[in-house]
Amino acid sequence: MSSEPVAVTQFTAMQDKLQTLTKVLTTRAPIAQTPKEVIWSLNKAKLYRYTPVLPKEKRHPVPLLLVFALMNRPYILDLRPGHSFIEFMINRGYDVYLLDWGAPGIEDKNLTFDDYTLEYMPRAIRKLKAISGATEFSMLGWCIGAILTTIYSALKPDDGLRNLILLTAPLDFSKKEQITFGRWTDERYFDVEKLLAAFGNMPPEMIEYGAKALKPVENYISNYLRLWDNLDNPQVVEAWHAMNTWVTDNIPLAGAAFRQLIVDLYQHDRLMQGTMMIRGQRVDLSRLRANLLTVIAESDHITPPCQSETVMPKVGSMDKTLIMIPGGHIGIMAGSGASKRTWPQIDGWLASRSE
Amino acid sequence: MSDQPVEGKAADPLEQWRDLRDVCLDAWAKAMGETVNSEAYTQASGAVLDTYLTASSPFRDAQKKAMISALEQLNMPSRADFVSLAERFANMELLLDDMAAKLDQVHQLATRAASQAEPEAESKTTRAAAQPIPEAKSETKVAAQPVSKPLSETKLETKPAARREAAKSAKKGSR
Repeated sequence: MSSEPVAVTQFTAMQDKLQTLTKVLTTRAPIAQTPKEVIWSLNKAKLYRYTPVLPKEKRHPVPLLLVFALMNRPYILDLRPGHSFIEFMINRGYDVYLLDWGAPGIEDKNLTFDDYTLEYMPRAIRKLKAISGATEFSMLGWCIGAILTTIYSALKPDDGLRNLILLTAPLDFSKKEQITFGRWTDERYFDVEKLLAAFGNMPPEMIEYGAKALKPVENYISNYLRLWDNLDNPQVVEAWHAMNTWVTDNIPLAGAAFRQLIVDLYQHDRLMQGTMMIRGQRVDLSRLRANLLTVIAESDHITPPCQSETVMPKVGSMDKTLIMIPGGHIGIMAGSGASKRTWPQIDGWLASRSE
Repeated sequence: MSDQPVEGKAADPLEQWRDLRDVCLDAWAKAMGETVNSEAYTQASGAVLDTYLTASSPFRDAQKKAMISALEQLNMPSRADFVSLAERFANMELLLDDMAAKLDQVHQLATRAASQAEPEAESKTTRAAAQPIPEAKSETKVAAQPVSKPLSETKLETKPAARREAAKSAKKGSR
């Protein structure tokens, strides 16, 4: 038994807790550790190729391109060693590429979905094909990245896209009563032009507030209490630290792209209605012919299931699968259960289609 | 049961307080969830944002004008100048990317043509049973390069040290 008085032991324990708390709240966790190299860049966008760990004969011949949302950093896909989707896929024999959009400056306020899908993506894909030597590729889009990949797939169905994976894809905006963001951006109350006239781009602080305000008690209170309760558990602290680093590292969204997101999609649901125009070309979902996997998070409060499931009958793909996974918008891919539930399901679907 | 101490672990006197706290938080979270999903919240948040943007607009405009005028007086570039420059750079990058892609295409075509010419040259050499033809040799060298590696990358990957060595030997040769 320890000879120290109880008060001293309690004091030391409290001191340790406070030190851990200060460290976690004031530093950045070591994230995005999987080795990679930049193989292409344009303006702020970069295309990374992750260093394969398996010899070429054991790898799938069809490379995989990951496309994340425009207003968050993509390293959520490579959060920390031992808990990284990218690391998992590399170990399963995929040649993995990641398109990082970068943080737009005020000079990029006129960038639209048209630019992202018809200037950036085709160029990045051209480079991917040149480096990998493959003529076909798979693409995974998450959140707004899923909107971009869907538009791209419908506009360029003959560009070699074999498999398309859509994660928590906000594509259908018709059921406004079920979509909180849809309510908030109602044209009667939300003046997108006034906002963009003031800021140019959508400021990251407003994006962060918007995401957190969907569940204010959970995000502003319970989240920190969970950390406080587990300060003596290094595994929980490490996971919390990494996630907090990502959550607080937001980037602006290019003004013109934000306008399209709000006006064309949230307010007028043009993608599903078949009236969305990209550089004068109508986005016709029936032209999307790649094998399609749609992954839906059952408890997603950012993209409720009703926004993703209705795309299935609209696309022209012959091979299409929809899976529902318990969890939230980010949790299904970066939560503690992701490596046991979501990642193996994606790998299981993609492996047989990547030969 | 939660109030039973786990074997080897002392009972936590704060456990019950924590349980009660979590129950309260759950109820609060549910109520807040309903609030932020309501029409009233949408209207209120829209009004707050609109008021802020309207009220701050004259100050922002005045500040912007003052800054532009001050920078002009100091002969310093303004934000608009930098934005215009950045846009020009982005356009140049697009052009460069297109050129790199075209170079890659040319390289691929050249490599393919060289690899097609190689067997022809070899068969000619065999038929003639004479000395090796110099042109055929150089073609074989080109064909030996990896097809998947574009020309632009091959250039980029050349190490500075290797470039210096090559330059030195070229100089020696010319002497």
